[in-house]
Amino acid sequence: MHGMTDSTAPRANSASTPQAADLSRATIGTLLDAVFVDRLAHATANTARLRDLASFDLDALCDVLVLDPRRLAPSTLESSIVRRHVEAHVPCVYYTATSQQALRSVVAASEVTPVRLVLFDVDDDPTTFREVISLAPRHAHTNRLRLAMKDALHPLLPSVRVTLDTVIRRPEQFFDAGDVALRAGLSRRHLDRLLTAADLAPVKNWVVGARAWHAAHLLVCGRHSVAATASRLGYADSKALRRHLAAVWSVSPTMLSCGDADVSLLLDEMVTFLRTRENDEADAASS
Amino acid sequence: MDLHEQAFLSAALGVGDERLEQRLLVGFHLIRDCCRMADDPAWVPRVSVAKKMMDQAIIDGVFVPGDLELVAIARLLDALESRSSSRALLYSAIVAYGVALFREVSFDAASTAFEISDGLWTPACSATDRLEATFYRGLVLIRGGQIRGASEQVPLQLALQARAALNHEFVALAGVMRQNRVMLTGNLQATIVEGEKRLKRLQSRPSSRAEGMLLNTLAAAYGRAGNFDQALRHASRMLHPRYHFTVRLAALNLSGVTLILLGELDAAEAAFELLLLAPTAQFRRSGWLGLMDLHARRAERHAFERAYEHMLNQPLTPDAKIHFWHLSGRGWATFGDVARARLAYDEAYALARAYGFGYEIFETEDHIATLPDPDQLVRTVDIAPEVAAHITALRDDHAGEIAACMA
Repeated sequence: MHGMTDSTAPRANSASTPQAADLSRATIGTLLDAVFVDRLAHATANTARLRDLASFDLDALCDVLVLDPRRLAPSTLESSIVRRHVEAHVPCVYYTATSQQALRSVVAASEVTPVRLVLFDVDDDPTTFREVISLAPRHAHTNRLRLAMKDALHPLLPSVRVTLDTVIRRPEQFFDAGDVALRAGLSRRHLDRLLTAADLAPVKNWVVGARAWHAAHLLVCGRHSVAATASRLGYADSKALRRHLAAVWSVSPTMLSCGDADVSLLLDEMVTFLRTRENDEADAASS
Repeated sequence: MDLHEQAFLSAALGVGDERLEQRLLVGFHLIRDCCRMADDPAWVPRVSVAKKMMDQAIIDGVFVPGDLELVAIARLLDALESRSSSRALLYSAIVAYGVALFREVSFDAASTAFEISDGLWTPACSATDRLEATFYRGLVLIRGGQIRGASEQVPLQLALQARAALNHEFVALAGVMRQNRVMLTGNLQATIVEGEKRLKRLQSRPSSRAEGMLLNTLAAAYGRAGNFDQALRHASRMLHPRYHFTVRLAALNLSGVTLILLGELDAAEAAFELLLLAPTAQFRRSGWLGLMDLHARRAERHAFERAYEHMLNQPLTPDAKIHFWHLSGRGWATFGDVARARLAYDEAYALARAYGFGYEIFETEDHIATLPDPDQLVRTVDIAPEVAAHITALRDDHAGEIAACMA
């Protein structure tokens, strides 16, 4: 499982990377001042389509939103368009200035959960900005699971909570339950005991679940082939990937990639998988 | 947006004090880089904004030389700027920044800093830094008012980690943390009995840090239990130079509070004035609280109101905030404003209930019970002056006889 390759953004400006290829098909909805739009256009090298949110039809959705939260006033047309995008889980990037007032607007715009904050003149160099935009869908997909598990993780010890959150965000950093326990600063047994006490699944489920969730993104949203997904996730072959997907959703990768899988349904089942203790599994099997 | 980044920004901009926000925003720009580096060790930090903001904050007097938060930020900045691939250096710096934020009572920001430190941790990081992070994270939970839930398990986690690292000092500190928690729940008897036992146990494995913190908790528990001589004895031991400066500052605060209760107002004033020179906001604010109490007891209304206004929007630990409302209530009651006193006590009571601080709940109930009934005052408005005037006139009629009696 070593060598998960798409977790860290490519650092080179290569247009042949998968992310850059995705970007070239994307429509980016913007709610920005002209000078900000220029920077964004430069970063995407005019490969993506930039459209002002005001020009959107009522039903149209873009692939990524790039907004300045200072321009998000309640009860404007743009705000309702943004709300519709948020409900449809379209990834959103905040792009604003470094001033205290601008940062205050970031805090105030709490109904949107942006995947990244890009500051003007600080991290809007073309390479970084392009990476942010291209990885936004993956981050948004990850954030859906993080938000779904947020309340369940809340009562845990802080170090355990942060570690499990990292497992979801960066599954490539954890190869087995021992890695998770090491990061949380506990023994594996003690960690599992804490998870059981909190009515959560054992650590191994989290390692498998986080990888499966990532695979689902590649198969369902990214439309990658099964072999390519297994390879990008660092599986030696597609068998292990199949096993993991079967464990979580009882589906084959082909079913995920071919059928019109409902991500919300997948999310519900993933949450159940991460909240199912071993005893529950045994009970379910015996019944 | 990284959730930690968002949490730190919300903490920074939720303070409600322009100067404190300016300080925390310097840290925010460094925190962003730490978040990126946790995910991607090859990230090139952009420290220029933080540097500019830090220089501006020094010019504006928001940071003053000797400010511990400034020292911690400078260290974090250096660690990021060195661009070395050593996570250990960065981990150590962010833990130190978290500790500084804890001492400034920026608990939400401190908590986020410690969470980010988890993301930066690798086996190459110092074991002591990790123990330090667990210890302060536990204190943030306990002192931050979360004495139920996760904070119950943190002492055990720290003890297990310390035992694995063969660090006896942190095993003792895990006990201190547990004791802190017990005291806040209001079980003073258990705090005192356990504390004395732990103090004896420390003789076999001496640790001035654990000893100082134990003495602090014990002195506070004795003070709360009304055992002032023991409180002062422990506080006086804490003033020894071998203890950390925070222990000595805590000794000044505890001494001041106890001396006030014993009526030694001048000595208490000296203790609180010394606290105003402390390098951390936590103790400076304790000094202000003490002075506020003194002004109320001396019926210095103007000075009391000035201290009250100063402290009203300052970040305080939950127990200090409850203390603030107690002092406000007592002050307003002294100045005859019973309705305002009642409001202050109600605030204290709501906080004590919300955090589950048993001692504070009982103390607030006692304070409320001693307040005169405002309705009763209203009902006596028409009759009281009449009776007073009648009795005064009677006394004047018999003035000669009274003087002879007293001669």
